Amino acid sequence: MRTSLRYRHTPFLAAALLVFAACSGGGGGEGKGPAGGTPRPEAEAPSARTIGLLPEYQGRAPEPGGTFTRALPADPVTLNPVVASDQVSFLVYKWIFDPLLDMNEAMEPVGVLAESWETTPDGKTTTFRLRRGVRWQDGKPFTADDVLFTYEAAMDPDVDAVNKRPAFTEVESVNKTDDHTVVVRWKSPYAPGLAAWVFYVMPKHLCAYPKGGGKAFNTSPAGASPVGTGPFRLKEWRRGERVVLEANESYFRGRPHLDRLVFKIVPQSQTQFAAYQTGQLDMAALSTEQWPQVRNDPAFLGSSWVFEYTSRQFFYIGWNMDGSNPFFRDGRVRRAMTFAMNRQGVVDKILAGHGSVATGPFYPGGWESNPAVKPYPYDPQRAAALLDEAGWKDSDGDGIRDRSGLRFAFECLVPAEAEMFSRWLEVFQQDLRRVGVEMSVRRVEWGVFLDRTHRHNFQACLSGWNLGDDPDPHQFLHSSQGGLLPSGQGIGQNDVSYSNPEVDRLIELQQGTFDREERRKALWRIHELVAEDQPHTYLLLGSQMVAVRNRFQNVRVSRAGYGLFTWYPSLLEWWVPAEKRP
Amino acid sequence: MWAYAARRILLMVPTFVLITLVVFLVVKAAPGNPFSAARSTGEGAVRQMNPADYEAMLARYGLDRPWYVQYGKWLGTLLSGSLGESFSERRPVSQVLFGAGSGGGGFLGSPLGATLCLNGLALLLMAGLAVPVGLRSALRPGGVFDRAASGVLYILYSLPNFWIAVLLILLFGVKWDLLPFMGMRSDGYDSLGPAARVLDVLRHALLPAVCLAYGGMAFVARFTRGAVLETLSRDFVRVARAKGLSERQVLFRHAFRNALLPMLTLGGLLVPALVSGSVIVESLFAWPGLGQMYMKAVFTRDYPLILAESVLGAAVVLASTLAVDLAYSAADPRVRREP
Repeated sequence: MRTSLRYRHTPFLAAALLVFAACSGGGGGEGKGPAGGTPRPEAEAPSARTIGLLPEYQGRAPEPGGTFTRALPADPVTLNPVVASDQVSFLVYKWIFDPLLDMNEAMEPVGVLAESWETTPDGKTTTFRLRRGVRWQDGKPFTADDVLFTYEAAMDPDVDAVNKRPAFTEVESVNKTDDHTVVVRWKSPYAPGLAAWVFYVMPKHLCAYPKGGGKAFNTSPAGASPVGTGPFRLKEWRRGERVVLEANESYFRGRPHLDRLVFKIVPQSQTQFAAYQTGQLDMAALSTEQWPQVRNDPAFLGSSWVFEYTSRQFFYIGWNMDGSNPFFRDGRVRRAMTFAMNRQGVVDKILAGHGSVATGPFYPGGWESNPAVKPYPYDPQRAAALLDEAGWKDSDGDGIRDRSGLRFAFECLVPAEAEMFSRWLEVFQQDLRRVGVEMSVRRVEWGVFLDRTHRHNFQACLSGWNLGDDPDPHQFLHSSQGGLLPSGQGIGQNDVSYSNPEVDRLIELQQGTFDREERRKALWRIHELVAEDQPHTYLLLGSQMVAVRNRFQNVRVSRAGYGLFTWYPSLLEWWVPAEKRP
Repeated sequence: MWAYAARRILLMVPTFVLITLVVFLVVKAAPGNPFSAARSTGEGAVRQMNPADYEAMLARYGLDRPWYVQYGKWLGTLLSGSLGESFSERRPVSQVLFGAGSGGGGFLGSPLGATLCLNGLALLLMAGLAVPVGLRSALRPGGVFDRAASGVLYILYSLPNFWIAVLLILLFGVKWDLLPFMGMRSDGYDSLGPAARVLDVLRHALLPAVCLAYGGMAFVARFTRGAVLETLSRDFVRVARAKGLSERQVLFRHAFRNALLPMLTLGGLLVPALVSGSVIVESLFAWPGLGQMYMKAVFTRDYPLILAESVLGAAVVLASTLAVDLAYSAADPRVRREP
C-alpha cells in the first residue's frame, strides 16, 4: 500500500476548518475591487503583493535585531518533531530543528541539512550529501548518525510517529557511507518519496534510547527542552502563555536577522486582531469581516503589509459511490450535481470574493494542475437534462425527482464546528431544489464526522483536503484506497470508493516517473479524467489574508500557497531597521 | 459532631466514584478516541497510518480493552495517587493541571492557579458589589432603589458574556487602551517586584473577572435581599426595634448577622465556581486556565485529562457541600442529626 506524503503540509485539519470558518465568518458582501468601497490608489492589492519591503530599505543590508511576536491558537503539544503531529507544534519546532530538505516558496525542494542529493536513473537509490560544519545548539557536530537515529526512531513501532511512517513506506533501507553521506534505497522507483525528507532531524547524542525504550521517547524531555540545529533556540516555554525563541548565533547559514520570536497563546481570532491593532502582536490573520473594517484605515495601511494568497486547501463534496445509495454511482448524476451548484456564487457572496472555484484535487497554478481543465459553469438546465437522462424525473409532480418510486432525497454530512460549511450548504440546498433534488444537511461534531466518513457511512459529505508537498493523489483517488478493513475503518482516504482503472494506472505511472515533464503529463490526464468523473464536486479554495507590521522588511509570501512561514528560508530573511524598533 | 462528619465523608465516597463512572461512560460513548480525534486532525491523519500501527497504538495505551477494564485501571491509578498521563500533552496530568512550563511562574502559571486567581477575583467582585446592593434593597423592599437595582441586575444577567467580553476588549483594550486584555501578565513580568507583579496580574484579570462576575450579581443580590428580609420579619428584630435601636444597628448588628446563616448555602454554591473555568471568557482573554484546558481535553478525547478535571470539580463540590453542612451543624445544633 502506498500512501501519499502529506505529512508536513497537512495542517491540523479540524483547526484549519475552524479557523477558516472563523476567518471567513460573516461575509458582509463587500467584494474586492472598486465595487466594495474606494481603494486608495497607492495601496497595492493584497493579492498582488509578494514582498513587503519599504522603498527606503531596498538594497540595504539587513541589520540584526528585533523581535517578532505572533499568536498561536493553542499550546504546542510537544517540541519533539518526530512525535508531534499537530500544526501548532510544527509552527514552533520548525525554527528549532532543521529538515534534510525543505520546499522553497515555489514548492521546489531545496537542501537544508542536505547540501545536495541525487537519485540514480533506475530510481532505486537516493544519496544525500550532508552539510559539513553544522553544529547542534549544544556545540556537538551534526552527522549522518543523527539522521539515521531520527529515521529509526520514527520507524520504531513503540514511538508515536504513526503520521511520519507512511511517508517512508517505500523506503527499503537508510544507511550511511560516511559521516556526511546518507544513502536511501527504495523498494521501487517512487517519485513522491523525496518530499518525505522534509524530515526534521533530532540529536542522537541527546535523545538516543536503549532498545525497547521507544515508549519513553514519546514523553522524553526533548519534547519540552529541545536542542536542534535550527536558526532559533528555545528560551522559555510558559505553558498556555507563550513560547520564546532566541536567535542561534552559530546557525550554519549565519544567525537569523531577528533576535527573538515570541509565540503568544491566543485562542480567539477576535482577540488576535484586537492585539494586532494595539501593537501587542506583529501579525494577524484577517477575516472577510475584519478586512473591510481596516481596508480604508490609513493608520492600519500605513503600518502594515497586507498579503492575500490562495490556501493549499480545497473543499469538496464527496459523493459516496459504494452502492449504499441509489444516486451517486451514476456519473451523469454526479456531473449534474456539480452543474447545479452555484460555486462562484458562494465565492462571491459568502467569501466576499476571497477564494476561487476548484477544478480538481490540485493547487491552481501549480505545475501539476492542468490549466485546460475549467470549472463546470453553473448551469441548472444541463443539470436537469443530465438527471432526466439518468432516469430521475418528477413523475408525481411534488417538485422532487424520483425513479421507480424512490425520491431523489439525500443527506449531506458536515462537521458542525465549521459553521461556514453550513452556510455554503444552505445555498447549494436551494440550488439543488431548483433542479428537483432534495438535500438535507446533517451537522455532526468533528469526531463523529471523521468516524462516519472513515467508515464510509454517509451519502454525501462536505470536507476539506490539504494539498501536500507532492501532488500525488494516490490516497485520495486510487481505488485501492477505497476499501474497508475488517474493523470497518477505511483503508485510505478514498472515502467515496471512486474507481476508474485508467486513473489507477496513471496514478501508478506518475509515482514511478522522476522526469517532471513526463509526470506532469500523467497528472494532467488524471486531472481531466477526474473532472469528467466528478467523484467529488470540487467546490473552492479559500484565500488567506494576513497583516504583518511593516517595520519588518523582506517579508515574502509564497505564491504556491505556503504563506509566510511554511517554506524555506521565509522568516530567516526578515529584518527590522534599527530606527524602526519600538 | 465528629461522628457526623465522618459519616458524611464516608457517604461521599460512593458519590465520588459514581460521578467518575458517569463521566467516564459519557466520554467513552462519544465516537472516536485520543488517536482518531487528535491524530486524524494532525499533520497526518489516522487514515494515513498503517492500520497495524493504529491498532498497535491503541493497544499500547490499553484503549483496545473493554470499558470496565479501562475504568478499573484508571481508578487503580487514581488510588495509587496518580492522575495518569495526558494523551494530548504527553506529560503527567498532574503536571498539566498544576504545573507551569519551563518559564516557571510557579503555581499561578498552571491552569488551576490561573483559574483560581481569575475566579477568585470574579467572586470578590460579585459578592463585594451584590451583597451591599441586596442589603440596601432589603431595607425598603419595593422602593425605588430595590426596583432600580433589580432591574439593572436582571438586564446584566441577561447579557451574553461573549458579547460583553468583545465589547470590553474593544472599548477598554483597543479604543481607550486602558487595560490589558490578552493573557495573564505582561512581557516584563519577570523583572517586576512582588507588589508590581500582583498588580500586573490583577490588571490583566480585571476585564475577564468583570465578565465572569456581572451575570451572577443578580443571583447574589436577590439571595441576600431574601435572606435579610426573612430575618427582618422575625420576632427578635421586632424586639430590637422595640428597644429603640437605630435601624442601622438593627440591620447590621441583628438582622444581617442572622441572615448570614442561609448565606452559608450561597457560599457553598459559589465556591465550586472557583475551579469551573469558563471556556468562553478564558479563551477570549487568552487566560490560560482550566476552562480552555477542559475544552481541549474534550476535543482531543484526552480521557485521563477529562477525568482528572471532573475529579477535581467533583472533589471541590463535595468538599464545599461538606464544609457548608459542617458549618451549619456547628452554627445550628438542630441540623446535627444523630442516628
